[in-house]
Amino acid sequence: MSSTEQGTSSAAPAEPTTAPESAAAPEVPESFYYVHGKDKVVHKVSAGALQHSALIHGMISNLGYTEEQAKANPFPFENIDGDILQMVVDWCNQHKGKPTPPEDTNLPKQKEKLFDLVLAVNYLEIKELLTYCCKQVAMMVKGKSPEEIREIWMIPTDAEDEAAEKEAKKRAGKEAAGETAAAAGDAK
Amino acid sequence: MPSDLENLIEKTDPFYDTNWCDMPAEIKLECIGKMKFRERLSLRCTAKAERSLVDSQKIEFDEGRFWGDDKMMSFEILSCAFTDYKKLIISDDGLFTAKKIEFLQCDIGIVDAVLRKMKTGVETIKINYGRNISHELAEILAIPHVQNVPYWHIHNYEETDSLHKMWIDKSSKIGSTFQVYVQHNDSFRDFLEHFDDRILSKNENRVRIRTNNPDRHILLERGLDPFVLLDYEPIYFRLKMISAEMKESEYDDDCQKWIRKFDREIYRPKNYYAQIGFYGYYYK
Repeated sequence: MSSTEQGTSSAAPAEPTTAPESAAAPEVPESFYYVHGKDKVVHKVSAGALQHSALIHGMISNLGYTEEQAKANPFPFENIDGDILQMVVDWCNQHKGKPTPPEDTNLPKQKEKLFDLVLAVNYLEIKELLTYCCKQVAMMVKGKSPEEIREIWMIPTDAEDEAAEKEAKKRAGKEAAGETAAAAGDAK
Repeated sequence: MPSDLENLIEKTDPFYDTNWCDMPAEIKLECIGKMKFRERLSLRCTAKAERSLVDSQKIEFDEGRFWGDDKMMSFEILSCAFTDYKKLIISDDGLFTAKKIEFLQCDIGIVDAVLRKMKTGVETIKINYGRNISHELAEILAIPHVQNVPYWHIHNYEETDSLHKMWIDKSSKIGSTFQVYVQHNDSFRDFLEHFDDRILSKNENRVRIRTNNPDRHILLERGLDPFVLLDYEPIYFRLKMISAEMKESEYDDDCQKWIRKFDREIYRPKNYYAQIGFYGYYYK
C-alpha cells in the first residue's frame, strides 16, 4: 500500500484543530486514526472529527487500537474514490466539535461528484452531511420541468425502461440456455 | 489488513459516476423529502418508478389553496399524499387527509371532486359558496365517507330537503351537527314540512324529530338570539343528532355559542360597523 500520510490536503483545513480547553483542564492528547480510499492515499484524521461517522466511530470502539496500531492499519474504504473521501475528511475536520450549521454551501455542484458523495456519506453514516447532500440534490432540480429533470438526472422514460428490461430478460434467457447446453456437453 | 478490521469493512461496489437512478430508494426518498411541492410534481411525471416513490411520501401543509378561473379552495389543515391539482378530477381517490376543510366561493363541482378525494377522518366541513348549493348538496351528501363528518356548516342554504334525509335514513353519531344559514324567514316551516309525521315535540325555537333508528333523535334548533337582529335576517339553524334518551332539561340554550362558531363577525362590538362605515347591522 502506498502510504502518503496526510493530515490535510491543499483543499482541507490545517492540521486537525483541537477544541479550546480551559487553562485548568489537563491536556489530553488527541488520538488520530487513518483512512484511505480507492487511491490508497492515507488521511490522518482525529478521533473527534471521525465522530461524525457512525460507521468509523463504531469501528474505533470495536477495535480498541493503540496509536501505533491505528497508524499501521488505516481503515480501507476501497469503494470510495480518493477525492470523495478527501471531501468527507475535510468536512469532518471543518465541523469537528462544532454544531452543524443549517446550510452547507461548500458541497460539490457537479452532479456525479455529488451523487458519489451522497453514497459515500450514506455508507459512512454521517447523518448531518447526508442531510446537506440530499438538500443539494433537491436543489439541482429546483424549478425544473419533468423533461429537464429527466435530462439532468438521466432518468429513462417508461418505454426505455421496459425495453431495457426486455433486453435484460432476453440476455438472461440466452445465458441460462448456454449454461444448460454447456452442462449437457460436460455430462457427455 | 488484519482480519478483525477486514471483518468490519463491508464490501460494496465502488461509488463511481453515480446518477439518480443508481441511488437506493431510501436516499431518493430523503432527497424527495427536501424538495418543494412543484419539484415533486415534476419528478413524479418523469417515470413510473419515480411517481410511486414521490407518491409514497406525504407532504404536509398548514394551509393549501388551489386556484382556477374564479375558483378557490382553502384547506385549514391539509395533509396531502398528493396529486397534480390539474388532474384532481380524474386522479385516484383518498389522496387528501384533512381535519378541517373550508370551501370559499368555489365551484360546486370542485367541492364534490375534493370531497371524493378525501380520506375518512374529516372533522369539519364548511361551505361558503356564495350561491345557493341546495340542489347539489344531495349529491355531496351521498358521498359515503363524508356522511359521518361530525360538523358541517353551510352558508346560504335555501332548500330543506337534503339534510334531514341523510340523518333520517342513516344512523349518524350522536353529537353530529349540521349548521346552515338561510336567507328567508319561512325556512323553519319548510324544514318542518319534511318532518311532519316525525315531530315528537315542537316550540318556537326547537323541534325534536324521530329517525328510523329508535335510539337517535334529531334536534332542529333555530338560532333566535335576542341580542342581535339583522336587517336582512339570515336565519341560523342547527340540526344535531341526539340520543333518544336525552331530556329537554339537557338542551343547550346558548345559541350564541353555536352561531358564533358559524359566523364570528356577527357578535362584533356594538360600534364596530359604525366605525367602519357599514350600517347593514344594527342591534336591539
